[in-house]
Amino acid sequence: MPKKTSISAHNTIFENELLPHVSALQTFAFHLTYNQEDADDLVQETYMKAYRFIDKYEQGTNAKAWLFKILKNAYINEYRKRVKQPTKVDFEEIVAYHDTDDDRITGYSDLREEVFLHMMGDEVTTAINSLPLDFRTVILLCDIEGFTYEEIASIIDVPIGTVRSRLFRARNLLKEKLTDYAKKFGYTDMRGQKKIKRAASPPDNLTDEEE
Amino acid sequence: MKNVTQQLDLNKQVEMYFDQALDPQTQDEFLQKVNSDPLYHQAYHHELQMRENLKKHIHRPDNSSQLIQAIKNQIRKG
Repeated sequence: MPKKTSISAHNTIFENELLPHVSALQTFAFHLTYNQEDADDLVQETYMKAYRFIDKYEQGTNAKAWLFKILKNAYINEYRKRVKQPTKVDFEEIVAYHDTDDDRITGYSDLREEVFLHMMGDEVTTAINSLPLDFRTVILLCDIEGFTYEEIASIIDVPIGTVRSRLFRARNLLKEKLTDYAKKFGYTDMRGQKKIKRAASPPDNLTDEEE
Repeated sequence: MKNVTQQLDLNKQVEMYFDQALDPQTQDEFLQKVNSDPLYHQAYHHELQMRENLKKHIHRPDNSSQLIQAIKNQIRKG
């Protein structure tokens, strides 16, 4: 616990700078643990640790990133051991993306808006939760919570280059999964059909502009 | 092929903008292009829409006030 002399100051920092991030931490924890009760336990544990080590927090600095780092460490070091549930990592998916060229497809530029049109339930959540832990983590930290590469690198203790390459692979995997869900609801990617028709045409019909 | 390369460069720049990975000067130049070039404008709004869709559709637990109270209670207990 914090020193007795500064308890009041610490409580003010805790209330004003740390507690406002509960909701974001809950979302992150939910997608790590897959259920509400475990997520709440993890967030509560995170705040207890934050309170205990509040001396290490510099007022006015990045409280959200600090809390996310504590939560991620709590999850890795304690929660996973406690529930005795190893992380499910689909190594085949990771290996499949190992050799892809990072410069070919980026962001969500090739994901169609129509993909989201018929989504009624938890398709995005299910798609994100089906990603391997390392990929899921960077998607949640970058695309959902808006952390920078530097902040993510600090939260998960990896170099910035690793953050970027994980993001690239994670987004590609997520796009595939979302498109698969959309197809189940009857969505057809017309661009794919166009490409198939073009491929069937004589090659000399192709121009640079068409590509 | 030039068009393909340009498109890939554009996509990369849009992604880096939304990832807050552009330096301030490049960011300003990028935003100027978004306002003046229809291709940049379209790519910008597409990426914005996709990211907003992800945020909108993801499950977010809605009991944060209860959890805040539980945290405060636990701290009071010491």
